[in-house]
Amino acid sequence: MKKILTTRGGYTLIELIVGIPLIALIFLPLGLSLTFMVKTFQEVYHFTNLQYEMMTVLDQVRVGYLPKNTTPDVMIGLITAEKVVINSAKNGITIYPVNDKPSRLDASYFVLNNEIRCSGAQGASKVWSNEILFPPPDKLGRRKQYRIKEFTFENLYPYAHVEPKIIKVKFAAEVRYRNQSDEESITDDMTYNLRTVEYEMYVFLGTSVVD
Amino acid sequence: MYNNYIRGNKGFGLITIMIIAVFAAIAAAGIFVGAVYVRAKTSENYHRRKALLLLRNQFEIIQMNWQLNGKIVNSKPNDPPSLRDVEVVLDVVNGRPLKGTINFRTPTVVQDPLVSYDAEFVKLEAVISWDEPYIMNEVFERKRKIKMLLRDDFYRKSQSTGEGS
Repeated sequence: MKKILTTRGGYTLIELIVGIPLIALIFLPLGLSLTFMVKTFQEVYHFTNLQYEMMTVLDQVRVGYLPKNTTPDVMIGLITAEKVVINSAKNGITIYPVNDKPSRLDASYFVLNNEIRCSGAQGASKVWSNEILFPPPDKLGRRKQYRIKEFTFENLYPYAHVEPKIIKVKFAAEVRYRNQSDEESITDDMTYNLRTVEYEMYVFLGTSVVD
Repeated sequence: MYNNYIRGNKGFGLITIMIIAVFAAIAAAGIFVGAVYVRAKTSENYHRRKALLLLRNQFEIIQMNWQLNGKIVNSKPNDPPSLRDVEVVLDVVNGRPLKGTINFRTPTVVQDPLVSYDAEFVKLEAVISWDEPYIMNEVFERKRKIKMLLRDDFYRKSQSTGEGS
């Protein structure tokens, strides 16, 4: 062992000058590709996750939200509506389902504090309150990774003289893949670091009433 | 033994290095192409999902016409248009809108004895098509036509029984 430590044999300067760039030449493209791959898969994961979360919300609005520890008979969505009421800001809707029981529930889907929430009520008393449907809790540093851009309800044909009606739900949200770096302009940031998904869903309400 | 490794004059030859370099380049290219392909496919899946939703939306309007007028094609002036070609925007790619077109095929009336002798249905098919940007679209400017078909049946009592729509 002592011989190894004290020996003066090794690579010459020429060998090192030639060898190190050669090794760099080999591994640089490989490293760049791997970085690109990791970046791509992170982006793909968040982009598909955003779509999944958004479609889940649209399904919940359409078919009904099922709160924890409840049975499916409390699911109230647009397809079960007898009457719907859209709020004046158009970012919330209350759905009264087809049900002639006095104990009937109603459900509201609305935006509050940049979150889509759902509440269920039986008359004046809340059965479930302000449950968050979107965005998921993922964070990038201190800010949320997913953000609502638009969530609105619209009576598509308010001039139609006969019921039934169609409700148009517009939902746009964006995901931030990474924070804006100092070198990046706002345009670059929007092009490379953000991805927006926009969905529009029409729901035919059968014989229900729209207020 | 250590001496042999550290002080030995045997090492990698130029040929060995060249072969490793070629293999590394192939691996790097494979990984790069794979990542680009995944990116393009994810985008395509988003377009497909959105296209299906937009197609479904048109059927919701037709369903409303069906309930209102008993017809797929509307007849009243204020009712929504239907069975016309509809242009939709699926996405914005490189700052340009990616547009698709919804075309309705001619509806046909079908009577299915397996369902009922008194019932018939109007079979309606619609196709949405668009030019999907190909992988590395910025370089090659190549596009691929994608078509998706959706069918819905609108039931009514058979016209021959006098219980039309």
